Amino acid sequence: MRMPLFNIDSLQPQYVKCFEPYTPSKPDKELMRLYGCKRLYRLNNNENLLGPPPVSKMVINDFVPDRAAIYPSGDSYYVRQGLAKKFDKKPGQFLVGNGANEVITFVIKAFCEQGDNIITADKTFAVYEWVARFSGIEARLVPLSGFALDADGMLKQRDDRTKVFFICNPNNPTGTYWDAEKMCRFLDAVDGRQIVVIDEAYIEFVESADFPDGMSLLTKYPNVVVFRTFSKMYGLAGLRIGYLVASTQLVSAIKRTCVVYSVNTLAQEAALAALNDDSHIVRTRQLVREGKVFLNAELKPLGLPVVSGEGNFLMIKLPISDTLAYRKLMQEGVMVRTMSGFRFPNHIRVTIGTMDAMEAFVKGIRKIIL
Amino acid sequence: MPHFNAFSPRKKTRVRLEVRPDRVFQTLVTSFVSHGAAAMGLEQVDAEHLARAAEKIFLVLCEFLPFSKRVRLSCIDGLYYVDQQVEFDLIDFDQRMSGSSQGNPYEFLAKTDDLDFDLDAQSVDTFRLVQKRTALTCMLRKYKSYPIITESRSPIDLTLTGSLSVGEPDPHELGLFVQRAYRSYPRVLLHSSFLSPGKVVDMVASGDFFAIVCVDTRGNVGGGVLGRWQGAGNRVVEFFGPYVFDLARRQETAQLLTDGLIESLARTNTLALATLMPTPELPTNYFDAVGALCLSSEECGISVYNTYFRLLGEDEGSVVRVHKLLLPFVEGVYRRLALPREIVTIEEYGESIPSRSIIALDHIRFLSRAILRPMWFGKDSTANLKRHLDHVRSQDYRDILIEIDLGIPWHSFFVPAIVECGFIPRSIIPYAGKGDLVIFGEGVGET
Repeated sequence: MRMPLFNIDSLQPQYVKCFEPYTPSKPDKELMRLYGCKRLYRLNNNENLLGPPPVSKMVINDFVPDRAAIYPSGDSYYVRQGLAKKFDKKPGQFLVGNGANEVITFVIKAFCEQGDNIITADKTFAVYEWVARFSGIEARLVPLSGFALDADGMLKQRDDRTKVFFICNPNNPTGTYWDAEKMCRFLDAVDGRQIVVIDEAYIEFVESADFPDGMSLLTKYPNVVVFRTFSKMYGLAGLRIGYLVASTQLVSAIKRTCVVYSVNTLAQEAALAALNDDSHIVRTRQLVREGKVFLNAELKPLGLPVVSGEGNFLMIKLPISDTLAYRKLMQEGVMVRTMSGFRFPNHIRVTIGTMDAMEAFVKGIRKIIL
Repeated sequence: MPHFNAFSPRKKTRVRLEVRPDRVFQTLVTSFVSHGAAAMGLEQVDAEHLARAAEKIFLVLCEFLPFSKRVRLSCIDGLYYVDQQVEFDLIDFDQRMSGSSQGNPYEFLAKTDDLDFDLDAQSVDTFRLVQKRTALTCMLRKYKSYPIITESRSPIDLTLTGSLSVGEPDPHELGLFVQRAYRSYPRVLLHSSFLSPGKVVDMVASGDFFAIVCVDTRGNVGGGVLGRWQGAGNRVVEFFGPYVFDLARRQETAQLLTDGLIESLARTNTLALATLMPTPELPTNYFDAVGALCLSSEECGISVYNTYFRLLGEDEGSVVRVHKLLLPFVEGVYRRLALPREIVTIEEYGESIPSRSIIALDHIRFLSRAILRPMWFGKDSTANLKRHLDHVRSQDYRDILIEIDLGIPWHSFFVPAIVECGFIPRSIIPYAGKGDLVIFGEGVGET
């Protein structure tokens, strides 16, 4: 029998063909085998090294396996109820996704078509740029000013086909942020002509008093969408759950591109429980505070420039290539994030975690640069 | 900041001819190649050289392929070169050869080595055999002619004004950058096309290469870098430079260019960057030293050039096939650079080995350099390598390099022959081939 002709190349759009799939790190077990280390501190993904709040751990422990056979709530019904109660909003203002990455896709799909563009920074969280590019949407990347997002530069890039601005606040990986005044000035300048996404993945770590809470801006600025996640502070990265919040009208528009049932039952229940454990936030902030003080003190004598802002991470400039540093640190059992991919050559980003992990990192970095 | 969306060559014009392997088509084949190549911009004399080379292959195929099968010829305009490809199905060949003492198609292909395309520098510029699934393609390349810089070489020392920025050059800026680099740097540190700025402009326009330049506030071109994709899947960028023209701001310019180079390739499928002949301005702390090549030039005599490499992300690890003679060298580099590699020592198990080997030879006349690469292993590897080396030495090439790919197991079978001919491993460029590439240089006075 003749095999049917199948030419993938002719079926795939050029903008997808040009896009290179992201290759995630191998599982820890494989990495440990590859680099010959007996234990591995994961300081590469800004996870919470304390893990999930105890209440979420209980939910996970108590999960009845047979419930895995049943579809989850398709629109994360109780999670939205819980979020609405916590933040004094309506459930219809929330849209829950399989991690914040999924809600990024919802927004771009909901507002952009070919010929449109989104605007973000060149050195920020990569997923806005990726989703735009593999959706055939132009991603306009504005260089940072110093280590901060450049509001004027972003506005200058705007044209009639600009649909969405993505503002990572605080910015990953620099930790810089726009204060309330700067954020409002920017939103005033946008003047409702575009959607403005304020990605607050790290807001629960923020200590600065002048940091603007995006949710408080929703009434005045109906074009604002705020992203948050349970992957960072709440330690639920492995369950993949994040959400967006905006005006009811805006959420209704975004829902058109939302794939329901993408958030599993365990994630929904663990996230709902986590919302009510503020003590976990206090403990984690304390850990991060102490870790930053420790790292800054240890790195200063080594003469390593440190970019330390808000968030549970800091960025360090090295006198050697970041990718070489990654490999050598892996041999010491410490995994960091190389920053060449973030367009910061020779920088690494380190998650602030438990003191034993911080000590292992300092020991490793001393060994490779001294 | 430019963003090079990985390797995305311009769509190339291609004309095709499909004929039976029958001598009756000899004139048609010759005429097809000659006229096709000339129409694509190759000078008539070069088009005829290319046609004669393709004709030789065709005639060999007429001897060996069944009459009922087809030979596919493609003439491709690469903007700065013309490729002539002669393709046929190995399965066709196998049918004909089954039961014959010449059962291995590569025994037949070794005959192409007798054609001496690569030894006859006038014939074609490169000759390669590429096997994809069941098809084998003989690839012949001839570069187009371009005007060359005739003015005398004298270093340029510009004074740049104000802040510097890095970007993708327009053709005028690119031509200017190439001219200035040619004037300011010894040949050994240049890409071989820098004698012809127009060629470099076409190379970049073709999408095979890319360039970034550094300009001041007045638009003065103060430096640049040229890069090209290579390796399996074109995922390693070999770059030339950074070249800088304002000596007072050399460090700043080189730093900007290096940052720009890395940033423009971030978030693409590019795995790594490598440079074999870095300029003194290269900020080496951005890179990992992977060896040193001993090269000669008119201007500098014999000098040692460190070779550098850097990954753009995490190393996922790979398997390399290494001959035991090469183990101490590769293990040393992998250990020093913490490169996760599973080293498999290759050995012969007494299996049948083809009697004839094939070796490819690249002539880089501008640099007086010849590079040899294995194309097929055979019992005569040592004798064949010596024959090629004798030829290259008789042509007065100053530098001879040999490359083997640790991702192709049989490449390492050449190592004893390479060592016997007096070559020693000088550098490893990870991922620059199907696997890591080892470069051998002559071990004059060394063991």
